[in-house]
Amino acid sequence: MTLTSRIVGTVQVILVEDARIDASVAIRFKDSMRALTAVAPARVILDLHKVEFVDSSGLGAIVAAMKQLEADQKLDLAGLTPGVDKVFRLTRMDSIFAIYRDLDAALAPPEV
Amino acid sequence: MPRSPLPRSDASAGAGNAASDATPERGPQGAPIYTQILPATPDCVRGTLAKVVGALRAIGLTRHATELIELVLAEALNNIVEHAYAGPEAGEISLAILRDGPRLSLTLCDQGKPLPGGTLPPPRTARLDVTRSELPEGGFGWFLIHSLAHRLDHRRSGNDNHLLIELDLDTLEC
Repeated sequence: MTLTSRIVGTVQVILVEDARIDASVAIRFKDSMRALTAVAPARVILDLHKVEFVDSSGLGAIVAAMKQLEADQKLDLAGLTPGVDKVFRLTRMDSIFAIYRDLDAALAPPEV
Repeated sequence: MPRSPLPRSDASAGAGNAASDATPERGPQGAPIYTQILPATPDCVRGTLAKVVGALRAIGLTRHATELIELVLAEALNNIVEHAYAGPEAGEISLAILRDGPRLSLTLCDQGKPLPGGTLPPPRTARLDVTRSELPEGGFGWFLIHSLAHRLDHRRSGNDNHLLIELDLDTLEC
């Protein structure tokens, strides 16, 4: 499980380099996210554009990564591929996260 | 039609099979797409899913339908790994995938624990109108299976769990 983190302005961007967040890596994903966001700014964006498959364990791990943050921090998602997007919509988890088409859209200043 | 000659693990070669052999199978019909016996571990599940995806693409299913079938199969296999065989010793899972026109059937057999209550969990959606700390981190698996399956059937015979998941390919292609 490879996650890379960088700071863009005041935002932390975490890119998932793997094609799958599934049952065999869910715990590692959760632990890596905890380590990477231990000292995090108020907004973290998880860039999922390389991820082609998320199962229910992976979905649970993404939810857990959000719950690990402090109450005043938020985790947004960007770049969901069609299959991953479907999992979020079927489980209605798309109502819990702010989801952006891609990282550029997530980093764009909010429209007034 | 004779039963498909799936090899059996030693653990399953008991009286339970004699009983099930005596009754006609009401199992799925169709052309075999993929069969495998796999050890019930997360890594083996992952390897099997990759092979199944290849087999489904090879018979001309779209990428979209294949992704959804992979998801359903992943949830069913993970349930067996994590719950039926919960414990230090991994058992085995028999998997058979058959196609009959627009119907694709996934048949899974294991020798693990019975389902809680002996029956399939109901299709329930998790409550999301809760605070962040109360959000569910699990329980999505059966919901996804129910959402995508055309028909589900489970039975316990002897020490075996049999799960049949029937998928409608026309619906999945949409």
